[in-house]
Amino acid sequence: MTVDALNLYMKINVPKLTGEQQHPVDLRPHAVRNFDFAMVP
Amino acid sequence: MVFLSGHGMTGPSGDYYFVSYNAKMESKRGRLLPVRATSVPGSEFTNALKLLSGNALFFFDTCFAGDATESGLDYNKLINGVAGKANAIVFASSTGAELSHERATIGSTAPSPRRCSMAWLEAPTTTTMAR
Repeated sequence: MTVDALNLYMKINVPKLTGEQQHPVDLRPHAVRNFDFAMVP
Repeated sequence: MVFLSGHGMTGPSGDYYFVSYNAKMESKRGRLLPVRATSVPGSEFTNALKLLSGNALFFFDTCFAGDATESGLDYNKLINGVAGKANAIVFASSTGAELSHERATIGSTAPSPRRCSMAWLEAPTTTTMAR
């Protein structure tokens, strides 16, 4: 799983889970590129 | 990877404190704040992340996680400190105008997992996320 993939998942699913009451926010320094951080078995 | 899920609050100068289950509270200048020895200030997270040579992921799920609010809770100082001084990517559970909700069972007084935290944890196992 990449950082961008997790962001996308959260931005789609958390508003649904919370009835549009909650919208996640992400903040990434410009120097940090997208990268894998978890492996799905 | 730092995963912060629970209760947080800010002091008069905007300093963040993670308030644990057994934190003791005291009144300072008319505000109820956690006793230092029983809470974790945001500076400790920032300093620990700065020591890392690689990238860090900082998951932050407390009320009003994404921004300042009119209620006196201002987590910008912590978030900007983490993102600005360390190679850390911040995932906040909500915008500043929103509460971060727990997945409480109606009628239950037991602590409940937070909805955004659960989504973070479930994401890697979701079939649509698998490559």
